[in-house]
Amino acid sequence: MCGELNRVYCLASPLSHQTVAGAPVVGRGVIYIYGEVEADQRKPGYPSPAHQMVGKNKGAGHLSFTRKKVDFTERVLFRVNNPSITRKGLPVKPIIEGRGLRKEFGTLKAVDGITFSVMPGEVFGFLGPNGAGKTTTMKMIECVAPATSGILTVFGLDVNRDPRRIKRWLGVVPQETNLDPDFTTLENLLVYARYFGIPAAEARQRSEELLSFVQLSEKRDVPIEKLSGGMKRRLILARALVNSPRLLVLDEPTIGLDPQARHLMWEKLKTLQAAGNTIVLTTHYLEEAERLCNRLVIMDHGKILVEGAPGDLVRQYAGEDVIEADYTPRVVRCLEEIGARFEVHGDMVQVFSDRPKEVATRLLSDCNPGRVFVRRGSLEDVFLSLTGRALRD
Amino acid sequence: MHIMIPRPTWYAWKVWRRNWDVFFKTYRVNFLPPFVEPVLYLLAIGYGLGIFVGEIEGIPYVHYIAPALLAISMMNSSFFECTYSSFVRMYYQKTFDAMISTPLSIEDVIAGELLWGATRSLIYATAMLVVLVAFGVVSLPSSLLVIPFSFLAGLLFSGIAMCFTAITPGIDTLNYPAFLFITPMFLFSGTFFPLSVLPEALQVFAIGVLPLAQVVTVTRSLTLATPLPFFFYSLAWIASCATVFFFLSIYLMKKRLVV
Repeated sequence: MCGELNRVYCLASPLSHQTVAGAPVVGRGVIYIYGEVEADQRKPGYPSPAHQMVGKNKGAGHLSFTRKKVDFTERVLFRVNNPSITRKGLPVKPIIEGRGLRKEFGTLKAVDGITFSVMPGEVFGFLGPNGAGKTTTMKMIECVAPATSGILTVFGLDVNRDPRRIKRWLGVVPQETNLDPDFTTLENLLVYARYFGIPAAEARQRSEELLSFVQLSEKRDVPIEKLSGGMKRRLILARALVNSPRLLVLDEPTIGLDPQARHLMWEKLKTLQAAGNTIVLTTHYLEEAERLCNRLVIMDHGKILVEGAPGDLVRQYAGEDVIEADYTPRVVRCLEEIGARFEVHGDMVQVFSDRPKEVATRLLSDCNPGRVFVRRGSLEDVFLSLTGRALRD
Repeated sequence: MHIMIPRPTWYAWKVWRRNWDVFFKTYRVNFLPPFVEPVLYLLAIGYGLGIFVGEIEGIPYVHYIAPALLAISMMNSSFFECTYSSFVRMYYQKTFDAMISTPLSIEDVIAGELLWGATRSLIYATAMLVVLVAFGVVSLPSSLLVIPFSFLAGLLFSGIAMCFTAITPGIDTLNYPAFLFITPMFLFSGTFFPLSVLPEALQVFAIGVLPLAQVVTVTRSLTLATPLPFFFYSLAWIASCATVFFFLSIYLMKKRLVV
């Protein structure tokens, strides 16, 4: 995980604000610190709010700092450009950790003993057909639905014991649009900021910034009912950011959006990740998951089927390339002769092979196949082969 | 089963403040009923019907019904706020869902709704009191105590209302408590005629369990500046039931919403 990005986000015990001074840093590299140290823990030489500190280590354990302003405050986050420092130095603790997590509604096992962990700074996806347990998992992470059994920690805190502290640092985009229809666009952000106890002046400034971030400044005084679906989703994203969260939980953030609005949402999520946010999302759009997620799990019937980076999963379960041909008895006979793995879907045969050219050439030359396509394997192939093609409710 | 006593916190005032802000966004509409209603009732029932009634228990009829109008207003403003309006916020607007994604807990949210219902009762009773003072049908300064009392009475009706909201399957079934509980109470709680004309069993029933009967007793004592029989009983009844329903409604709502 650390090497993959060549840029590692390490959160040092997020709520206790231990800073780099206490961490044994070995090797050479640059450490950026975004963040704030709570007033009582602030000591000379420690980073102060709204400052980025850039330090280059001159020797083992020695750091010197320069300061730069940054936009995102209220997190203590170490971004280490040289991964070797992190591996040897700061321990990376998961932002979310679930172990044997279960949620039952009567006899229905919505989530059936899942174990997963989300690391700081990554975009982590939960995929699966309807009823797989994705939303229920999101609600447990949001401290809204209590688990039936199992352990779930967020920021190292137990969701049952510390929901208020966890929720303070959480940004939630729910599946259902639940903006407050009694208020305007801007007022929605202000009222929401008040729930977090953010002082009025700061809330106003932050809300205006966020409206421009999601390109809604022109709609600031418009009632919610006058916004389009895409605008509402963007406003919900802005609302989720009003408390400068350390973790964003997005339940189908792009549901029902047109391609333009979806691309804008992706761009915003990429920006947020680049700024050091950890993002957890569910989606039905596999292309979206492939683009956004560093790692993902595919769930079905409350269980996790596979976990991994999208590219790895595609290679492992679908192959680099997929061949599709018209379904005829002759084609099937040919494929059986070659010994290739294939599946029949309607009037098409899908062939999974690490020798796509060879198989395609053979089909074309010997089997009179009608149409033959070779295309890149995708997450959709993985998804369908793991969860089947039967319709869900 | 282990029953946890709900523990709302001061965060509830943030929910209260949200409702306050919405109320004052449309204050012109909201202040219409407390100013218009008493004028209409005083003219039609107090003076119109009052000509035929004359006096009740030595009190001019219009003075007799003035406190009842206050009590009814406390009941309606808080009861309907915490039934239909709360249900709309909970079920249709998903406002509660949005709130509990923040540091607010569901206990805070419901407590805030109840406090707001009580505040609405206070606002309406105060506005109405201004009209009644202008008509000279209530005694001063004792009537000013109606203002703090209206908050307590509002909290009682809010709590009862929120229990119905917690168990109602849909918004239509809230018509049951509205028509089978509120409307009969409106007529048979010593509002427009004294309880003493009712059969004895009904009198006992009204004094024993009807919340509005207690609120009318206390309010009438305050506007007439003479403690009526059962004044302290009614006050204690209201205070204790308001407390019970406050916690019970939060408990029931939590059971409904946290699954």
